[in-house]
Amino acid sequence: MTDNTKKRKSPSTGNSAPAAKRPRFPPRPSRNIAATPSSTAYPNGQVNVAQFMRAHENEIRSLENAMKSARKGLSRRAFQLVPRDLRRRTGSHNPQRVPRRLRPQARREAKDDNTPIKKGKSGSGVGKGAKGWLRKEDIKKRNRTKDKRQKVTVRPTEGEHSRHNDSSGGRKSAPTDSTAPPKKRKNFAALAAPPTPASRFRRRQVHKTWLPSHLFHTKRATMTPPKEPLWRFAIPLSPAVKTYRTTHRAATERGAIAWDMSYMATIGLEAAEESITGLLKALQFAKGDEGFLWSMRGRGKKWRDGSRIWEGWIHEREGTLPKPIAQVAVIWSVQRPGSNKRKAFIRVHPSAFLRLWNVVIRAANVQKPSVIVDDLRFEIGSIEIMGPAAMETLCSVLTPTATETSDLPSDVPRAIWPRLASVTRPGELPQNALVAFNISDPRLRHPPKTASVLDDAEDKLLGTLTEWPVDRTQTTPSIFDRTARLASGRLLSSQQSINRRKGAVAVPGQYPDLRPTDPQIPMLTYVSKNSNTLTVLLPWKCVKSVWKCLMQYPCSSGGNPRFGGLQERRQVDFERSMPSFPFDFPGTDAGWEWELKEREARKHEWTKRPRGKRIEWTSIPLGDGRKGEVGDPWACDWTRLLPESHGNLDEEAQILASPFRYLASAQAEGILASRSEATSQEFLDIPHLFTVKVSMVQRGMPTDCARVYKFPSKKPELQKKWLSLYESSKSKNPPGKSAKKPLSHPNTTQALAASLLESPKAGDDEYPIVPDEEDLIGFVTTGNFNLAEGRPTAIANLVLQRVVALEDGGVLKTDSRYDGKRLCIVREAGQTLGRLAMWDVV
Amino acid sequence: MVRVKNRYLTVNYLYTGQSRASNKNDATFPELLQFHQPTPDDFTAGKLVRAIRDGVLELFGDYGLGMVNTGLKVTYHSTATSTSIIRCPQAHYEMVWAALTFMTKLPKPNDAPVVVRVVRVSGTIKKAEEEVIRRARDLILRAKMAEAGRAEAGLVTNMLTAVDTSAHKEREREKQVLVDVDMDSAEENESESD
Repeated sequence: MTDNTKKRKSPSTGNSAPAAKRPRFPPRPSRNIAATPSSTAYPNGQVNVAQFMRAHENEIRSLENAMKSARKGLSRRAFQLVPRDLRRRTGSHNPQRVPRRLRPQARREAKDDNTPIKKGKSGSGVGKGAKGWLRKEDIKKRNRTKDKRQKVTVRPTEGEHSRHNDSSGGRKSAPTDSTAPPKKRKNFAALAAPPTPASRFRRRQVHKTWLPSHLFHTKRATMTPPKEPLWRFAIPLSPAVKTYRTTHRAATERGAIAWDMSYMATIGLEAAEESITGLLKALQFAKGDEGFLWSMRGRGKKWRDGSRIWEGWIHEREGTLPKPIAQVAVIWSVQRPGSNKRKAFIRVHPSAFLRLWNVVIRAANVQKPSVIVDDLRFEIGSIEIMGPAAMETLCSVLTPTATETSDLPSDVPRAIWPRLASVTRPGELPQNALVAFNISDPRLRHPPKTASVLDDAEDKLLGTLTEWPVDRTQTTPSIFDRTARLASGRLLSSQQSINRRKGAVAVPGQYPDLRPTDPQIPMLTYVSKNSNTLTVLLPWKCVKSVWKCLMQYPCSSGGNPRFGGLQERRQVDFERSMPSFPFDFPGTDAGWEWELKEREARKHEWTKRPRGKRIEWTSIPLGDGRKGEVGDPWACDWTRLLPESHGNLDEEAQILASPFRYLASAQAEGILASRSEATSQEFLDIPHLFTVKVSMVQRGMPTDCARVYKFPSKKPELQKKWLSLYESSKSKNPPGKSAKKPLSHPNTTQALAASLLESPKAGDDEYPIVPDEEDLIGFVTTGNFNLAEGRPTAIANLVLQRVVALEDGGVLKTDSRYDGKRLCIVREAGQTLGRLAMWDVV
Repeated sequence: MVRVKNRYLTVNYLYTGQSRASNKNDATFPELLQFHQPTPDDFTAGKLVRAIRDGVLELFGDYGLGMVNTGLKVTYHSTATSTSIIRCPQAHYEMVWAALTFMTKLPKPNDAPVVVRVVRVSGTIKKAEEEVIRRARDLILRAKMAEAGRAEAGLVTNMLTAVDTSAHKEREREKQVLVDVDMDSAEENESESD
């Protein structure tokens, strides 16, 4: 063996044992249990009671020590002592990556283990690995220019100016001429630029933006890969720990689950009320609800007064059947007294933001007087929270700022707020209710305390909830005010100064006194019926401090609120059997884009596997001599379901926009029940998709991309087989079985034999084969085991034309609703077996 | 993971015969202490192992010795309190037990008559240690009571004996259960290995 100086040197130079023979870990403390010999226990050979007792006491002590050391001696290494969700891969070899209290131990272990410690190589700036100092020149150059710049801007008084400008204009309007007066805001709408990050984080945010809570999430969750951000954001996908069941529990049974939803886009509208109303009407906001929406009383009135929100679909302007863009929430600001201008927010998912933005701008220019449209994407962040403890968490963390007048009327939002702590479901609050007031910095009241429920709170709460005085007393929320938003962000004190203030408090555990200079953070919370969550709107810069305190709130039911990623967001919707935007809406452009992306990902997953271990799609036997998967096996291959007349779409057009339209559930229900015959024909001309919930009749688990068939229309034989399968599944566990009178013995055996004959098992030769491609009606977009229902369910999209054609078939009219149920056959991609299922429009 | 399974025998050495202590003629010397006398220091752990090996060889021959020898170890040996914990292979712990039971004298140079009593068979060293601790506590308590009883002999003697017998009964029952449980678990393990 050659002497390789680059190899690790052994820790002690005298140790010449070969590396393999050396113990990898320091030997465990020996398991010898100390015992006193008789000669020391009884020095002169005399046995007396006192010595006897002492000897036994010594024995007890030594054995207890032995047990303790045995427990410790299980040799847990320092990085293993960190809670599971805070462990880092780097923690196993870099002592800097474990909590400070464990660092000495980790360093010692690394030394014993003869591992070289590398410091400062796994961060930013200096680069990693062999590249090391590759960017050294760059860094030096940057520092030099920074110094120069600082020298230039040292001029007094104007420094203030330029900072203001910077924060208001974003990156693009960075101060070039600091002597110029503050620019007047532009009249035409421009897309917002993300805030300029700190220099050491800037290079990581060139093509994406971090959420305000990025540093929290990136430690604890799987984020989107650095090169493939979602909607130009680095979004947490799922926590690093196991979460499927805990998410379900937190969302429905105990505790709470929160998401940093700052990536949701907000569009600000400002104009006279008629103009905003005109704009929303032009975009057919909440089509189908117009009666309520624009009426002069009731819910619509409250919504326009700014005390409720409204969630609905927003459409493009063109065409008799306008194309739905996205599900949005529209929030009006309460009218400021003495001003005839109104403000409103449109909150939309980032995947549909640009489309909506373009449409809104065009519609805004048409209005007279025109509407000022603002892109508030990086100005307003939001947190969504769900679960029984959601309200108490918010009540404790979001505390209203102190007011000058000590006697607050008992029905203003900030007075009502603490009383709401015992609300456990958003449904208990008035539908789509909204509460807004200014809060103080939650870091000043950290650690948060469990919200206390007063004795008389229950009665008062009931009164409040039924009366809901906020409808009258809500003042203009300051989150609609740009200066208030920016001021709160700017006034936020550093963590260091907050720590200093907390340290100065005489009694530990007491919160520091609030000062008049403390920021007043504008906050608006609303209840979303659609997603069953509470949404908190905050200025972008204040989200982080609220989020941190939120995550440490001790719930009254124990534990802290959990956090979720995108996957959990979809999971909770799925468990409520609700489609989630944009994933379950391939009929919209946003959903179509997502589908194309997923297709690629699935294909990549498949190609990654070795040839012998991946499904050979072309050789899947579908029975009756048919071979090969229907359509693209990785995709919900919607193009195959396009009617003949639309069949020849070129590829590029497909990439740009969905060839389908989304059909709202109410309309779909109407057409299926042939209630709205007049409009049906219009709908049938354009291919439409509608979302349904699929639940299995027998067994089987529908997963993403599963194929949904209707009962075979042109093969009566096969259809009969499937129907008999359904019948036998019913007779196996009929609902009122016990009420049946007992059959006589021969009859029982006959029935048993018949039932055995009747229901072929999956995999038998008699089990009916799947229908042909012409009977394909849709695909499953989300499918999994549903913990809320205790069985597998799925959200699927069906093509209207394929389903309705079945109803018009005449002979098979009953088929669509057989036995009061809409039956279908679900087959997973790559599987040969079809399973019975039923669907309902959701 | 496959691992070698052991049994841990907790063993007490009891001295019923003539007291080796110098104060054997002392009438006030409590019976308890006489029974639980310290073992001489020259009875070391090594000698105990050798004695067990000899016993197994005598009773079960080379086969027994071969079976037992693999995992035999004295994990705890306290002469002051006459207690040991002996580790032996799970499948053949009864051979070790038998060898211990047939031991009537301490090994050679000493030759004092002794009763070796296996008080607990356990699958983990932790439970064996807990048993030793429990017994030591019990002994301390009884020693205290014995001393108190000596002070006011007439009054307390009856009560003491009553307590003593009841405690003894209790222990007997407990031991029964423990042995049963251990036996059960041993059988289970065996059946699993089958």
